[in-house]
Amino acid sequence: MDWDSIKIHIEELLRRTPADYAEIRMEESETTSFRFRGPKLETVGEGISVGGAIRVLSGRGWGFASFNSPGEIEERLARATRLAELASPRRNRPVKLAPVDPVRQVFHPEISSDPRDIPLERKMRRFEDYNRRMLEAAEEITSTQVVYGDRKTRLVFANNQGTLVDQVKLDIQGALVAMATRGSDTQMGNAYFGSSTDYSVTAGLEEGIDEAVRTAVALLDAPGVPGGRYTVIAAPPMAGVFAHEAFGHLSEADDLMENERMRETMTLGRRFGPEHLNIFDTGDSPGSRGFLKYDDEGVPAKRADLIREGVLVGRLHSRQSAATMGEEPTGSARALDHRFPPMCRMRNTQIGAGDAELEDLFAGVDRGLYVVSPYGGQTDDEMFTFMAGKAYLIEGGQPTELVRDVTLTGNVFHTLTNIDMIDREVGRDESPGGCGKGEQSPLPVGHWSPHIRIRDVTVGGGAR
Amino acid sequence: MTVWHDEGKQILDILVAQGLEGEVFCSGFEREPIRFEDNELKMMESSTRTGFGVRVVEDGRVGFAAATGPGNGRALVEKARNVARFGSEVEYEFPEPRDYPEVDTFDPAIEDLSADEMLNCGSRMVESVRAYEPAAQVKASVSRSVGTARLLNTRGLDLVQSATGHGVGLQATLVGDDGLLHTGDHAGGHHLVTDVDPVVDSVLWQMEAASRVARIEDGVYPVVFAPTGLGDILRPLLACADGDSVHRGISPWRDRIGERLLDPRFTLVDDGLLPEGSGATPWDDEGIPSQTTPIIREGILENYLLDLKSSARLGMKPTGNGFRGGSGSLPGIAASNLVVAAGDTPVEEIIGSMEDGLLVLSLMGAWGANPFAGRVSGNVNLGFRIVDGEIVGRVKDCMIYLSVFEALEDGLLSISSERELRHSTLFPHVLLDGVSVSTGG
Repeated sequence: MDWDSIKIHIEELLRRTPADYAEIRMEESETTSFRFRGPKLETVGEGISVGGAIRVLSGRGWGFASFNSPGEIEERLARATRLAELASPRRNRPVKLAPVDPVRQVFHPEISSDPRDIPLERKMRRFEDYNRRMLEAAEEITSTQVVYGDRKTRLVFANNQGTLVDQVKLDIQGALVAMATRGSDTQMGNAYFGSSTDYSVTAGLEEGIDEAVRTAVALLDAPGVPGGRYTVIAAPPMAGVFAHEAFGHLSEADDLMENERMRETMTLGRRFGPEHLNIFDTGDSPGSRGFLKYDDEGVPAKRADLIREGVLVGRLHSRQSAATMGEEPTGSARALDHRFPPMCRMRNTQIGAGDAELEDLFAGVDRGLYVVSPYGGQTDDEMFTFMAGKAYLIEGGQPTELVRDVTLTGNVFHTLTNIDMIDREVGRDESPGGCGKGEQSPLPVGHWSPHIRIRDVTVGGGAR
Repeated sequence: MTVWHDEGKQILDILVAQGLEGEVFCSGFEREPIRFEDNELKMMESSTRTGFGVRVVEDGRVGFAAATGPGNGRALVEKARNVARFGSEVEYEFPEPRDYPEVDTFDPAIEDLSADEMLNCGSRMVESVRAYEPAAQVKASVSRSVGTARLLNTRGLDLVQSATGHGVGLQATLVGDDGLLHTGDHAGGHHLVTDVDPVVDSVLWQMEAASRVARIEDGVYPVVFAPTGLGDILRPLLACADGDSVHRGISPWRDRIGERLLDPRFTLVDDGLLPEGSGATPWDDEGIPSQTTPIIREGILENYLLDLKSSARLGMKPTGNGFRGGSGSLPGIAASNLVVAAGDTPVEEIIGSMEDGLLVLSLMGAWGANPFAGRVSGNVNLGFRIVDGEIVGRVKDCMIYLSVFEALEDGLLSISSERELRHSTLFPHVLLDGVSVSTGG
C-alpha cells in the first residue's frame, strides 16, 4: 500500500464525517508458516493480507465495516455510518467514550532479528533439523508436529479526534511436539518459542526438544493420579496461564461495564487474594508476544495493575468501558486484525515476584502436584479448567514421579485466595498460539509469572 | 459482466501459461452480524472479504500462497513457485471435473432479509429471556452471509457455488449468590431460520432447570450427554478417524477398518449432503464431490475421513473432507456434517429410568486431553443431577472423566429416538455408564 497517500486519504475522509466518532484502521501483513508432521513437510505457505476496518458511533449506535480492497474506504465508511444510524434509535443506554489526548506517532520498534529478512529456505532448514533430531531421538517417537509462523504487520490508525498512529508489529511463534506411541497409547512432550522482536529465539532449541522427547516417552509409563484435592505448585508457564485464564479475562471491562452484578463482584478495593499477590497487565514488555505500544483505539498501552497486595485495584479498559465505569482507559482495546472491531483484551499478564525461595514452596508438601506446563485451559469467569502437559507428584517435599492426565479445576475466586506462596523469580514464558475471546483468536499475548503454590486445588483424573 | 472471482481465472491462466500444474481457490462474501450484549443492541457490522489461495506443483513439489483483496495475482503465483522450491513432495493429482450432487446452499430469503427484520428478531430473543428472568444478562446475535466460492485447477476444473448463511445465537447469564449460571443455544445453516422459538425455549428451560442446586458425591455414575455435550465425547473418535493421524501411525484405529470397535447400536456418519446441515456442500474445497461417509456403522469402523493428500498416501479414495479455514489456508481434513444415528428410547424415558446420575449439556476444557487415548475429562459447565428419574437441580464444581472408547463399547446404555440439529451436527442424547465424577467437596 502507498501509506503516505492512505494516511492523507483517511484523515481527509475523517475530517468530513458527520459521525460523533469515527476511526479507520488500515493494515497490510505478510506471513510465513510451515508445519512438519512426522518426517514430512506438511504445508508451507506465504500470505499477503490487506484490509481495513472502520468503526463509527452515531448517537447511541455503533456501526462497523471491514473490507479487503483499499479502493473501497470511502464506500465502506458510508456503510459503517449507515449501520450506526440504524442502530442508534434501537438502543436505550448512551455510549460514552473516555477522552484521550490525540496521539500522532510513528512507532516502528527496533527488531533485533527480523524473520522477514531470512530466506524461507534457512528457516525451513533449521526446523527440519529440529524435527529430525526429535524423530531420531528415541524408538518410541512415532511422530512429531513442528509448527512455525511469523507475521509482520504495518498498521495505520486514525480517528476524527486527531489521532494518527503508524505502527509495525511483529509476531514470531511456534511449537515442536514429540509424540511417543505404544500400542493404542500416544503421549506428547513439547518445546516452544515466541517473540515480538527477535527471530533468534528460534535458535538453540535442542535442549528443549530433547526434554520434550524424554517427557513424551516417560509419559507412556506414567500413572494417572486419583481425583481429589491437592496442593499444587505451578511452574511459571502454568502459573502464567492461570493468571491469564483465571483473572485476566475477568478484568476485561467491556464484559463488566453494563453488568451490575458482575460490577458488584468486581468492586475496586475488594480483597481477592493474600497480601503477597500482585497481578498486572502491560503492553510495555519488549520482546514479549504481548508487547504493544498503542492499542486499536490509538491509546497508549499502559501498565494496568489489576491486583495489588491482594486487593482489586484496576482492570483492562477500552475508551467506552472506561467512560461507562468512570475510570481511565488503559490501552487494552485490541482487535485480532482488520476483520474485527476492538474489544478489551490482555497484553502481557504477569504475576508479580513474591518473597519466597523455590525450595520453600516444596518444603512441607507431603502429597501434592508439581505442574510444569499447561496443555490449554478455559474459563467461564467463575470456574477454570486446565490440562497439564507435564506434571509430577510431590511426595515428602520433593517432586517425584511423572504423572499423566492431570486436569486442574476450581473456582477462580477461591483459588486466588489459596495462593499461599510465591517465588521471587519471574519466568518469562512465551507460549505459541494466543488468546481467544469471542470470534477473535489467536491474539498474541504473553504471561510471565514466578512459581506459585496453591492449596486445595481440585484435580480430576482417573487413576488407571 | 465481470465479477471479483474472474481474477481467479486470470491467475489460473498465468499458471497454464507458465506450464505449471495448480489450483486456485477463491472465496468472497459479505457477512452482516448484529450483536446484542448486556440486554442491548451493541453493534451492527458488515464485513466484505475476498481472497485467493494458489497451490502450484513445480518439479514435483507443492507451493502455496494466499492473498486477500484484488490485484495480487501475479505476485501470488511467484510466491507460490518460490515456496514450491522447498515444498513437500506432491503425492496426489488435482481432480478432473466429474458429476457433483445437487446441494441447495443458497436461500434467496436470506438475501432479502432487511436490517429491521434482523434487529426485531434479536430484540425479541432478548426480551423473551428478560420477561422470564429480569435479572438475566442477555447476549444475542443474528447474522447473515452471502458469498461465493470458486475452485479452478489446471485439469479443467472450474466450479462455482454460491451460498447463504443465517444464524441466531442466544446466551443468558445469571449472577447468583452461589456463582454464575451460563445458558445458551443457537441455530443456523444455509437456509433461513424461520422460527427462533426453539432457541429461546431451550435457554428458558436451562434457566428453569438450573434454578435449584444439587450436590453430588464423588463416584462413578451413568451420564446422559445431551446433543450439545456430545461433541466433546466424539472428538477422540474423529481424531482417530482422521486420515492424517492414520497415515502417521498415531491413530489407534490404523489397520482396523472392518473391525467392531464400539457397541453395535452406535453409528457415526459424516454427511456432506445433509440438507439442513451448515456443512452441506456439493464439493469439498479441493473439488471432490461430497458424499455420505459412515465412519462407524453399527459399531464397526468403516471409513476414515480423507482429503486428497491423505487418501493418496493411504491408497484410498478421498471422502470429500478437504476443507479450508478460508482462502488463506491449505485444505485439511475436517468433518462436513456429523450425524449420530438415533436410538429407540425417548429422552424422557432415558431420564426417567435413571436412579442416580447426571445430564450434561456442556463441558468446559474437555478439548485439551490427548484425543488418541480416548480419555475425556472436563468441568461440567452446565449439568443436572438426576435422582429417581427426575432432574433435581444443577450441579456445580464438578468434573467428569471417562474413557470414550470403553464407554461406547461396553458402557452404552441407550441412545434417544429424538435428535437435534445444530449447524453441522445432528445428534441424539446418549446415556453412558461408568463416568467418574469428582467434585471440589
